[in-house]
Amino acid sequence: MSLSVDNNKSLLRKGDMKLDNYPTCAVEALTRLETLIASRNKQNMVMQIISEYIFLERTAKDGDVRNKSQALPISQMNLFQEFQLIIALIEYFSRPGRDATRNAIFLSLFGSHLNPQRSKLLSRLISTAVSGSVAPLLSSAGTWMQQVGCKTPLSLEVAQNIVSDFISYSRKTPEQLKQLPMVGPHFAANFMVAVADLYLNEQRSQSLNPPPDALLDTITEWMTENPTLCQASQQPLVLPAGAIAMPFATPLAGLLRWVVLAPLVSNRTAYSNLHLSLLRALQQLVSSGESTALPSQDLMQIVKSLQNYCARLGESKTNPEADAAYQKCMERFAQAVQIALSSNCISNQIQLLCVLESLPPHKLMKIVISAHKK
Amino acid sequence: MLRQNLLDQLKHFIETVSNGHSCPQLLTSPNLIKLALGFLEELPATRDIVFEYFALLAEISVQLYVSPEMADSKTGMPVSQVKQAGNRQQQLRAPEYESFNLVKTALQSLVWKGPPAWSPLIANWSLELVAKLSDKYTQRRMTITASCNYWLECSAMHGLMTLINSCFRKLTQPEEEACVEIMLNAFHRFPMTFDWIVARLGGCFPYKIIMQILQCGIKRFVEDYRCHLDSEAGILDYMTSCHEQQLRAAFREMLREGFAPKKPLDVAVVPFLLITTNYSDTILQSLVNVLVEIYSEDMCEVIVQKSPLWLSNKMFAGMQPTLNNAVLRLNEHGATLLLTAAKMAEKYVWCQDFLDNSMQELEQWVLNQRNFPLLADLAYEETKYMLWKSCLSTNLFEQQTAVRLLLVVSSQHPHIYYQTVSQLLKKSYAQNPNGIGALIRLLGGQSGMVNFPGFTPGFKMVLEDITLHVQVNNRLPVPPGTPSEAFNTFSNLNILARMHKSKNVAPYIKAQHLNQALNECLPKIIQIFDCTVNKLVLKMDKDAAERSAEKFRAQQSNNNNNSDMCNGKDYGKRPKLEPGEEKLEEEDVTRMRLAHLIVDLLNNIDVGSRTNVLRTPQVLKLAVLSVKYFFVGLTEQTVIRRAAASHRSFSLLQRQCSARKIARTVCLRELVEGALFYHGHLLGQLEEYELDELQIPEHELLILQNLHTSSGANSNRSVLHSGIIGRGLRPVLPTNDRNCDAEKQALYLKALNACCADLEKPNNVEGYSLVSLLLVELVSTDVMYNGLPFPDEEFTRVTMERDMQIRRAFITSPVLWAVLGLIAGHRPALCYSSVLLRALCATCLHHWRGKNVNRFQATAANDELMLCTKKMLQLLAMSQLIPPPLTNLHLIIEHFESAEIALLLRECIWNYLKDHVPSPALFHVDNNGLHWRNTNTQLAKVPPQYVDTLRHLMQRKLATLGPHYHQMFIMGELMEGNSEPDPTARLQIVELD
Repeated sequence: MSLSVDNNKSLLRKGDMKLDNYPTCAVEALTRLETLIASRNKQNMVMQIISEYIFLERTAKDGDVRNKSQALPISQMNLFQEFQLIIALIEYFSRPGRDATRNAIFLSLFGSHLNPQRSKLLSRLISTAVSGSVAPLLSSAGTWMQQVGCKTPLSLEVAQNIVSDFISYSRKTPEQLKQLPMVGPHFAANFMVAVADLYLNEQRSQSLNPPPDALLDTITEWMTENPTLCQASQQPLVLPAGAIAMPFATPLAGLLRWVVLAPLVSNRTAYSNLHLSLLRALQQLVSSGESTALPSQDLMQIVKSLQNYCARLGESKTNPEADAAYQKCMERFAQAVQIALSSNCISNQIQLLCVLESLPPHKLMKIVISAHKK
Repeated sequence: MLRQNLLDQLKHFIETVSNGHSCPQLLTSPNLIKLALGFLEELPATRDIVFEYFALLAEISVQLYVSPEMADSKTGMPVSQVKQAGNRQQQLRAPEYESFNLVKTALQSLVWKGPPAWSPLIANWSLELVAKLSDKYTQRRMTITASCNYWLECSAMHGLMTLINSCFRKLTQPEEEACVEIMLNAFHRFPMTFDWIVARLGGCFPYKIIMQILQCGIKRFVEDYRCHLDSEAGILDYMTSCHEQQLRAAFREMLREGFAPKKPLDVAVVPFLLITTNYSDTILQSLVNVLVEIYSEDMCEVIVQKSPLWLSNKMFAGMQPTLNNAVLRLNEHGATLLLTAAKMAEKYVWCQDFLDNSMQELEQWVLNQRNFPLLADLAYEETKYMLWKSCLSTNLFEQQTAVRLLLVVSSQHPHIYYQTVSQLLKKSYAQNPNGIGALIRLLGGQSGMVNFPGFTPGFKMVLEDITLHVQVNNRLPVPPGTPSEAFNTFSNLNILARMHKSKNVAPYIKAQHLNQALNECLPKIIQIFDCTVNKLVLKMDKDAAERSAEKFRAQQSNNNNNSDMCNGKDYGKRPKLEPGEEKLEEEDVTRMRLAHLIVDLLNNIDVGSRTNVLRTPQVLKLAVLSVKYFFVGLTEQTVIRRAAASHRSFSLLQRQCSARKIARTVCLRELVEGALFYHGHLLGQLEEYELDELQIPEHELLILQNLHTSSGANSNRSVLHSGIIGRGLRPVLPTNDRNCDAEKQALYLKALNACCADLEKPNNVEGYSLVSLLLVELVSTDVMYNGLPFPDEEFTRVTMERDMQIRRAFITSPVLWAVLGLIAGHRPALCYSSVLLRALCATCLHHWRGKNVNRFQATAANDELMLCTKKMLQLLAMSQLIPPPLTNLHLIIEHFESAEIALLLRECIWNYLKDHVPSPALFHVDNNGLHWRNTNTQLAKVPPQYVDTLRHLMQRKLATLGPHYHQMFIMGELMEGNSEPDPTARLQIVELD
């Protein structure tokens, strides 16, 4: 009941907003939102305006019987309207304004639970922003990603979409993607977290899927040229008053998994380069003194994959010590652990060392373990 | 700034496209297209909208294609090459129509050169788009081929199909599966308008598509047995043209399941497949091909066992009538199918029904002159051979089916008919008489067909073939005992001719046709006969020459020793055969049998009779060959066979001779010549030893000698000489042991008789006269003094050499006596041989006289001279050339001394004949047409000067010759005396008493 009352109110207030002349009404709605969003008690109306005037969504109540069962409203937009909206949003975000307001509007537009149309539109929006190097929008997107969680399905979908847009469907990696760390470092860092989670991850698929070559090259380049990129996510978020910042995540753990497990599926030199830049990044962490850069459950995941691999080796009666790939894995792992321990960025050290000991022995790893176990 | 520019472009693009639905010109501007293509690379997020835009372009193109303004005003068909033809408006709109081409080219390069991710994307997009457009713009239902032709003319559709094709080639296995899935889904959504796309694209993964389509079809079929399977069948039909192998594989797979049902769906497999075949001939063909390929006896069992399961399907239960037409729709293996059914027909009644219906339908169609695919199948070479094989089958169903099929195909392809007739004639039916039934049925032709080919060319074909075989000795090794094709053919023709003669046996064959056909083929038959007989004759002559050479060699080793080397044991016994010869021997035996058969056939079809007109060369040839065959027949090993062969030739000879005069002349001449010169050895002729003639050195050849001196009495050829100086005596001919074979001689005489006898005018002696004249011509070497009259006895000195030669001819060819005997029986024919009689008489007279001069020699009973004299007297008596008392002379002549004999011969015989010239004028024709010399008349009454010598001599030996005397003189005079008593006669009677 209250919803319908609100609805009437909004209609009364915004009489000049007509659904007919889309996207003008969406632009109009955005400007109105700016003011509405400031007051915290009009959240419902904000959501309603967004749904109705920006995304042209209709709830089942509006008479569409078929959609009754669905909780989420269905958008009536066609592709052209979507792109009109995308252009409108980009233009809106490009206008000078407060970061906090922009982030707030972005978070209102795209919350953590989206219907497929809206998530699709989000993916397109971000992709377009990357293509167009729209820094403000990317910054807001970075904030959104962190607030929603980098490894949530929504973030992963966005990341996946960017990968397919710029990597799979592209003959050569576009300049815009290469320059992403400069244009939107926060977004780039969060994107890396998500992307790192997509590949070489035994929790997502049965086998180890290596990332596309072009993606690996791009990330290696990013890491080599911007050693501090991993710390970009640690920058404080600009949020509207009262909002709680979600904890940040660094791509280090995910990328470390890539380089450690890579010898099992690929022998590209790019991994070595990436490994090197990762080690450098870990070294630099010393100064900051953060201890959560490498969450131990992420490292446990690496250990788990290695154990699985050793089990498979055991089935084929191969000694892990004789397996070159495994040795290389362990070598990289040991190097990383050593540096991480010395820069004190591993949270649960003792547990990790115990687990590492349970792995088939490796010379360097033994040294590392014995050095730190005391 | 570039980035800003990009967003502006995007804005521009979105605005243009979202506002441009009403204005195709704007949408199709090349700049916009280029912009969109650029976005694919620069602004990947816009991929979806760009493709939406491309879809719009395609739709514009399709719209134009189907719109009336783009149609050719004359034909009503869409104008595809608008740039070249078409009115102004069409030309104006051409860029819009072609706009999609740009897109197509760009996308294709993306597919070929771009990252692999594009292929599935573009493939799916294109598929959806094609499905949508085809569904939206198809105005009326068309066949698949028509749809393909219609839509592929449209440049946008064609472009899309090309794109899909290129994408499919780039797809990985799982992507392919997905595409097939998409395609089939689209097919389910638009079954009426999407089928052509499936058919067209099915070629990219044919087996999968075919299998899927079949599975779809069977599911629908199981749900509702009355459903229409047009689309499925259409797709399969279309795809069969290029992917028959896959279709067959799919059928094989399905049948395997259908024959061993596990799932409930499997039960419907066979009914479903059969129903599907009703939709398309090509599907039917493929199914049949598979069936023929996998068919076996076991499978048949399975089918019988499983068929009740299938019957639960209502459609299947009621479909038998449609099955019957099925076989007519087959292009291949139709005959195999029918024959297979025929082979089973004994076991299963439904097979008979199937056969009956199918064959009836088939014949009906042929009668109506309809064309149908099965005809093409029947006309294949392989089918032909198979049918031939089946024609010889012992299974009557199979055989009859094969024959009917051959008849059907023959109505359209006469050459097959000819070949079949020819082929069947060549086969032997000794073991399996069914085959001849097939042949007879085949010769009967197809009843009701107007222009059914005749079988004469077939006969000609086989005869031509045989001619080759016979002429060129067949070098192919055949197991001994196998009848040759020639033998089989003639044997079969013979059977046919015989059946035909007995009328009621072969009602199929029209009465006149067979005889007519065979007579048309007569030249060929004669050619074969010629070849065969001539080879036999050669062989016979060779054998004879070998035999006599051997004999003379033996004799020569006993040079001038009069003992006989040649005894009865050697004769007829062949020297041991070498292995190589055995084969030859075998060959000759078969050849002989062939000759018999041919003659039988000739007799059966009444060759040479008046009704069948032959050209003169053929007549002559046939006459010569008949005679040759007669002689060859005499060499058969047993009496019965000889008799059989002779009887064959008798009827052959008789028919010819009574029909054509020329044939008679030739036959007789050949017979007589053969008996005297070429084949005399058969009739007891004494061989002339080669020594006598052939060892004359070249410089001594008569012709050379004659250049120097006149030959005169010194000529070494003179028969009077008993040798040549320097070479000793000439060998004496072994007279005693070589008697003429009575049996053969009898056969020979019968042959002569067959030639001479005139069936219509039994008393016509023309033929015998001819023989008589021939004898003169062939025996007497001299044309001088060849006339009928006997000269003075002294004059014989002039002709003595010739007379001796004639006498010698009688010695070497004893058969001459028999021939003369035959002639003598048919008065007055012997008159023409007067010169021979004269020579015999003169030489005998001379010899008897000579004996008298030297010293007394007791004449042996079988003395040559005596025998000769007796035979001569007999002949004269038989032919009524000497009057009654003298007619008995031959009975008593042996009782006289040589001087007496000489006297008798001179006084009674010679003088009588000198005064009564033996000529036809002596005879008159009586009421019966017989030539007769009436001895009762005064004309025939012998003047005493001819008889008195005999009378006196007999009176001297009355003791021995009493009864004869009585018979010869008293009886005659008694009878005469009744009318006119003669005092002298009475006196003589008194004396006698």
